[in-house]
Amino acid sequence: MSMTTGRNVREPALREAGFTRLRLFENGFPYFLVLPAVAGILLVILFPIVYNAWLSFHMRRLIIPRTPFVGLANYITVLHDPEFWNAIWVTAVWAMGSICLNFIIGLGMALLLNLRFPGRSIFRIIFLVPWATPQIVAAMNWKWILNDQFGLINALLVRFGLLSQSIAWLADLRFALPMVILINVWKNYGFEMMAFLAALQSIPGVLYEAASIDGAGVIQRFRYVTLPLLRPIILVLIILRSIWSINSFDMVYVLTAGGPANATQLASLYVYKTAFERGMFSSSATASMMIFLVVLVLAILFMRASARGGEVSAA
Amino acid sequence: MKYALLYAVLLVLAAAVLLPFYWMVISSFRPPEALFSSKPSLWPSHLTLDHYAHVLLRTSFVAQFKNSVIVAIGTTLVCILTGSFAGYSLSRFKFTGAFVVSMVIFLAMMFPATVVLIPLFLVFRTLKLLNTYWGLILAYATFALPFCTWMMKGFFDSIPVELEEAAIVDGCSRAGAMFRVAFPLAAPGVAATAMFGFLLAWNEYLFALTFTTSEDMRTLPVGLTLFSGEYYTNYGALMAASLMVCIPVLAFFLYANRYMIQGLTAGAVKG
Repeated sequence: MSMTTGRNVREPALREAGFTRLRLFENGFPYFLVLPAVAGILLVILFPIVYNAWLSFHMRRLIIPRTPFVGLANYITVLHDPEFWNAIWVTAVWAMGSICLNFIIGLGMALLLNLRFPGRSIFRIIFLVPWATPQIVAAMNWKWILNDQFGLINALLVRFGLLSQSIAWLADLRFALPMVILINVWKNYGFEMMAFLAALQSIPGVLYEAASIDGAGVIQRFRYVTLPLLRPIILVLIILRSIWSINSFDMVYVLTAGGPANATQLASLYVYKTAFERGMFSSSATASMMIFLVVLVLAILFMRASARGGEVSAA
Repeated sequence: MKYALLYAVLLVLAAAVLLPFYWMVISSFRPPEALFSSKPSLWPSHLTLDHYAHVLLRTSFVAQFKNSVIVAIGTTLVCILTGSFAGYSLSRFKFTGAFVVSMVIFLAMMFPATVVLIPLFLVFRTLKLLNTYWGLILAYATFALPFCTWMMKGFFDSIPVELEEAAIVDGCSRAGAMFRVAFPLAAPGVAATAMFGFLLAWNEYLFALTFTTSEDMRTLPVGLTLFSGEYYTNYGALMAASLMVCIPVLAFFLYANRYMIQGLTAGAVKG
């Protein structure tokens, strides 16, 4: 899984077996193998990103064929759009909420499932079910459960006397954003849970025994043994979750389409709507460039963080 | 019963986590009068298969299912074929540009889909690729190709290179060592990667929404959202369709989730 170490370790072995660098260059075998994938990446990823950057400096309308160069005009337009700043704010709240809750719930569940008890593997599968559900299915399912007239949640809350009348959770300014965050956490905490579980299981039991002998209680063992050893994975998970939160579109678009009154309008929804509902392709490309740059910085941080943890790997 | 408290906690949590699922299953079997009631019963009652019959016979579910299968299999084949060779090369050889290629692939797994959305839309419109399977397969390659390449590189990294060296010493060619030794050993990895590629494409929504406009080219995730009318949503049929969409997905995931988590976190965990 490493970007450098793995190959460096193998290098001498390869040379012994006749894999000299020279011979490999002569027949070009490694290049031949990566060529199709590299061509594909150039075609469907790098070229569109460059085209998107180009669009952000030109004026492109859906129906007008000419695309004159306008310099930074698009950036100025977007930065003066209050809806853009609203989208940034909503995305920030959404990302922070998702990161914190996924982290806490994921770690809590992992600690619980790391205990030894009969039937543990069945519970592990049960708690992973939401994560395995397709986004759109989860979104439609929650839309039905939260339905203001016939939804299960309202019916239960009213029956137990917690609510006097039904609430349209996803159409209410106060509840829409917290609700989509909660639904997103329900859908995603399984990832953090599995990652923490894997990390917990790699901690040698000897360390806990030693701590116990030294008189450490449960909380002290968690504080001084578990947490420090989880630090690399914690950093990786926080960066990954922030990237995924910024990138996410499906869940919120299907649940609320950004409403009510843009209360759940994520930056990704802003980009989509600016292009395909308002027909402003250049502004949309410009906004997406800015999001892209933020994600790029986070992705580079992620690469550094996981490299520091030993090796680089990702989903 | 020293586990009593633990089990009580776990069961409550499991019930909370699974409640939406339970409700989806129950709703999909309920007739409209039980479904659209202000005091819905928590327990199954008056069950019917009407919603399933409706979805299968009177909606475009079957056509959408076919579209989803074609696009997902197409994406998987393209990405596995290119991705496994590239993954092998990146895992086994040190060549000029290898680091740059690895880094680009790694970063490509994280970029936001919105940054390629508009360019791809404009290019596809010019090339008449909107509303075609190839258009969607190309669009899905933007996330599936880097993912498959990286995952396969991980699998090849975990296979000792000494086995191939032994094969070459015994007279196998370089390509022969790859095909006869490395690839058979990586078969479970290829299978797991293919499954994930398939699922990524199967679940995709944004590109399908943007690059298909005609009713007969819609994929399942987009099709599901079309059950929602402005004034009336047939939730029974919607839940039946949702359930049919996610049964294969759940089966795949429960089998293969460990591969993905391993690949994702191995480095950080070890450190």
